[in-house]
Amino acid sequence: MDPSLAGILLVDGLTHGVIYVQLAIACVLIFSVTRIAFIALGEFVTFGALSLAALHDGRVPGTLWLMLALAFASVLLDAAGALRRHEPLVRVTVAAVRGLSLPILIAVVVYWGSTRGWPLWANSLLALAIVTALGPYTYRLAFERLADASLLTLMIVSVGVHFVMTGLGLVFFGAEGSRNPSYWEGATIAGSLRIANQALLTAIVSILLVVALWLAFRFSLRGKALRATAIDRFGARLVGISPARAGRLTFAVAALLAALAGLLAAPGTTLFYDSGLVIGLKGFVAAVAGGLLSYPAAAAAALGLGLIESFGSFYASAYKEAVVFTAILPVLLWLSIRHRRAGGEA
Amino acid sequence: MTRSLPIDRIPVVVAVLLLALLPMLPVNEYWITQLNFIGIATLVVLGLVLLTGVAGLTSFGQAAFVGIGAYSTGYLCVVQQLSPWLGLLLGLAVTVVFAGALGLLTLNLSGHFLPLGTIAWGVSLYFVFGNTQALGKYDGLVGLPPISIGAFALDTGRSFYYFLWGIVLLSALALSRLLNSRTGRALRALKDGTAMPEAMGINTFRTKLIAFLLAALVASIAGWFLAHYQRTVDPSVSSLRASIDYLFMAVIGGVSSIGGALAGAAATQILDDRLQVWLPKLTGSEGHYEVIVFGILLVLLLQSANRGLFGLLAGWATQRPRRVTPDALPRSDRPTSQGPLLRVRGLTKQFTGLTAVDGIDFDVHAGEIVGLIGPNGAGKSTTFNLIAGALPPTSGTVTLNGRPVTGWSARAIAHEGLARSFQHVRMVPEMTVLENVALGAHCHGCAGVLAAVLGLDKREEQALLNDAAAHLVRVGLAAHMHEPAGNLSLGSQRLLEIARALSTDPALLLLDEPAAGLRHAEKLALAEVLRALSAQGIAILLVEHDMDLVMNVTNRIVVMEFGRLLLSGTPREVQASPAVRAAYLGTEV
Amino acid sequence: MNPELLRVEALMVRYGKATVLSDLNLVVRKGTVVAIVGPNGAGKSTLLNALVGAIPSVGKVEFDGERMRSFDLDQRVAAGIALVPESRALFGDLSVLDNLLLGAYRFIGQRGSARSEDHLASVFDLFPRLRERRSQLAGTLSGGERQMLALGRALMMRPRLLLLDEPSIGLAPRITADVFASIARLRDAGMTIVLVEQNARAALAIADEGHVLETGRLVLSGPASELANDARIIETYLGSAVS
Repeated sequence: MDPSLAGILLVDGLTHGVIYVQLAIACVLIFSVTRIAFIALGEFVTFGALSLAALHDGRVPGTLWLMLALAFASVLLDAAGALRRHEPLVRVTVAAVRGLSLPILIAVVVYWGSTRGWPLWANSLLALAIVTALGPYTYRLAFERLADASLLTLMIVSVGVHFVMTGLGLVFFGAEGSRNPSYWEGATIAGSLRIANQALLTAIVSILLVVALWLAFRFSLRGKALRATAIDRFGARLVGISPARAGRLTFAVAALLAALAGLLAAPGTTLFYDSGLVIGLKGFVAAVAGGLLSYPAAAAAALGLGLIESFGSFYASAYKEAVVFTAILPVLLWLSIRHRRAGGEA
Repeated sequence: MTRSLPIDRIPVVVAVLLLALLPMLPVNEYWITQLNFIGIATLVVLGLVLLTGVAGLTSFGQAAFVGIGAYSTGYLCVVQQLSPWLGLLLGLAVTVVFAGALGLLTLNLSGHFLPLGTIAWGVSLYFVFGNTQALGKYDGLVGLPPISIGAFALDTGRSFYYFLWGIVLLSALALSRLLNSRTGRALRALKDGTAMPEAMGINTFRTKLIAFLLAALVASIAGWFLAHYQRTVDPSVSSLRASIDYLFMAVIGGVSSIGGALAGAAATQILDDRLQVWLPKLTGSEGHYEVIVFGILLVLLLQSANRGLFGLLAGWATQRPRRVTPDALPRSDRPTSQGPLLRVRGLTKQFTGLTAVDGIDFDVHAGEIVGLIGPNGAGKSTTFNLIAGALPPTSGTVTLNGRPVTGWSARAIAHEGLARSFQHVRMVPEMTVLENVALGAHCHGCAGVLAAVLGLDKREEQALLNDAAAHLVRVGLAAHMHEPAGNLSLGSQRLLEIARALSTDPALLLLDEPAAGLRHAEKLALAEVLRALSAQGIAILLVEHDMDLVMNVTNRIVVMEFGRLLLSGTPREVQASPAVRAAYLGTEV
Repeated sequence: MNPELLRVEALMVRYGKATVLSDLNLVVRKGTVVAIVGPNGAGKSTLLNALVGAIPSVGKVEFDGERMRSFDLDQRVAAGIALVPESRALFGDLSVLDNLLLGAYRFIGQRGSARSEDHLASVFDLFPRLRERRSQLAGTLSGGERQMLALGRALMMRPRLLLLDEPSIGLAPRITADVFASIARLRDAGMTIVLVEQNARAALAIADEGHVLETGRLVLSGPASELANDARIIETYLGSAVS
């Protein structure tokens, strides 16, 4: 293989890799705080991209109505629970109104702005807002009740959520894919390599995000509280850290990461309503390679995955997906042996 | 036991009759088609009942084996123009190879890595099928011939129906027979973890592999049927979606019940079909939205099942109680060595930063009851686990009956004549008391899967169950023989564990806090049993906190503190010792 | 006599088929140390877990006149009950300082959050070793230091009732002495403490009131000094005299 070809494949692999990094980080985040192996994360990716496409076309995306519906359901359930605990009606009503204020605000802005042909960046922010809001409500409705359930149950519920969201994706966006306009047209030449500016932007955003998350987690007290939930759940509850609130916040951040990944990837790849599964699984596979607990390992694995995919598609283009998914098996085996040696039961 | 009408058999008989008669009635062809698809799905779900419901191994990849079966026969029939029966053989052969390899890989994955592994190779195989030119890529293969039995081609819905359902019912019968056999008991013991079966001398990896292979084979056969019914094969038969559908059917049907396999498959198929009809009318647009409903149902189902996934519907068809006569198997001739039965010398276990056990020495002789006590954190449980083979020691030796067993696995030590109980009772609540105890005699039998399915194991089964009955008499539980073990009181469950340990034919019995949680009368009964056993020559080492029991039943007591041996002596000596008192009650600080 | 802070009536806890605690009655008065001693397996940890609401229980639990709901840990933590569990439940990957600050998590962003700084200072005064090691990861501390950190974190919660589960476990006798001395100092400063302990003598030495728990029931009760000299305690620990 000549160096220039290797160079192209390298760039290609890393371009996809940084997308997977965002997803892998999001998976690790979710698992480390809530023990959920969230296979449905890919759907947030496609929702982000397709919502933007709809807004760009001057339409209100179906995801907005979904977000509103889930918001209402969440707030209602919260209110019902509070009333059952004999909390005062006034306080419950105030909480409900406060809980609905943000979703309604988003809805109003989207509705008002959808026909006005706002610029790309504005629509992007709106798409992000919609899909990010979906995260905590999804957690509240599907997972919060199952806080103490087994890992397996949580995984299967994730599968259920995946089905619902994929099906809804078809309803909202139809079977046609969309390719969004680039945020940064053109390309940069570095030596003999030609790097699309969009790819460069994606890499920059990814790195910034990962660094920002890392800083927040490591240095803010709220971030440490989230970590504490994962380190010792009982201890966290004993000092009054609410696992439920931790879960919702985590899902919000993860949804943001995934939606952003979708917005960044969409200009380069056509995304369909059902593209989420494979993308999400790849990010997930990378996260697992990091043992589902280590951010640097997950990021490295995600980049590695992108490279395997890129080089694999060159050598055996038809089988590149099969290669990627088979490659995880020895990693799983190694992780499992290590887990058993550390005292876990078979 | 008086003979009674097999009432519990009636639903099964009725179902079989209905299935047999249905095609003869002038039913709409549509229903025959539905039932054919249900039958094919039932085969796969039967495999899942065995793999997931019984053995506790969740697989998201069963559809991959359906694909192997379907594509094997598709390739042979369409590309090579050979007979469907050869296609079946090829499918089974390829399945054995793949399942063997994947099983060896996947079954070494612990906890939640296992379902992740099944997702990985399931998705991987899907992409292989969809991208291989010879298999028609995403369009698949078309034009498969129907199955022919001799000159008779099964090319109508009804003719296919009879053959398919004949095989389905035979498979259900075979599975039922398997689960009520020696191998079946080992399979059913897997769900609660491998510690207990291994302590009974059962090779749990091999048992898991058996379940995995059988589930894969039955899925492959289903794939063969599917291919020759639809006369086409495409990658969707092995998609992740298909795997999840099968798992969904199993869960709806109660995941560990054979009848549930049929019920789940039927319910799902019909629901899926009806939704495809109603939803477009409801939403006014074409498109497959039933997947949304399925997703919501799945989530709600799991949320409302308080005990999680496997707590849904227990539904195990109770086997009619077999007649048993208490008749113990002959005890193995173990050469008794001179000196103590168990000899522990310098036993040490170090964890990072903590020496849990520090140079422990003691002996246990045949016919002796020795108590191992000490305050919290003294290292009693660790010592227990070192001797039982559940933990490897850092240094020191353990000698059993003259043979050095230091660092041996639990299974190997069980074969040498050591039997143990567990701090939290480990048994199979759905099996009868008799069957649970028979688990201990697993290594005294040899009937495997084939013998069980073909019914050739009757004599051995009778011998094993008679032996189990004899041990139940020994501990005084004979009256509860045929009850589900989960119904017993805690005290009786502990006696069950002892009976099970006895049926391994041990020289040394290791009991882990047998009195924990027992009421006073139950403790007295336990003490009686222990004394009787020691009078029969069995050596007993018990770790216990209950001082009344320990002081009254043991011949000698070993006291540990901070990982070291504090004192060894008679109960009276230990009670009166100021050092022991200080260790337990503490000192003025 | 000090006013009642905690009143427990007919408390019962089941675990599967076993009844771990039955018919337990207890009254804890403000500003006192109540020691509950007993042999291993008696149900001591279960009692504290039930009192903090971490496990379901049957019976009446009243805290400062307010009825506590069964199995509602959040309610009891919000009411001011702090548990230091046997496992200490420390956040091993976070520093000593972070562990302590997270103890005051409930007060972040609220009025009174500034007072956490004062509380932090007083925790460091009580446990100077923690101030020395404040940047160290909690997982690397020694046994005694972990105990101090766990106590310190509980104190940062500004609790009205402190529940201590086997504070002396895994500690060398000298450190045990330090820990118990600190507990006594807390009581002198007005804290109400319930501690369960296997080391009966050390616990009763600093307690005001004592109870002996044996297989889920309170079999002996009384002023701690009297109980310490009661010969019947030896029987509960080492069994009734062998004939």
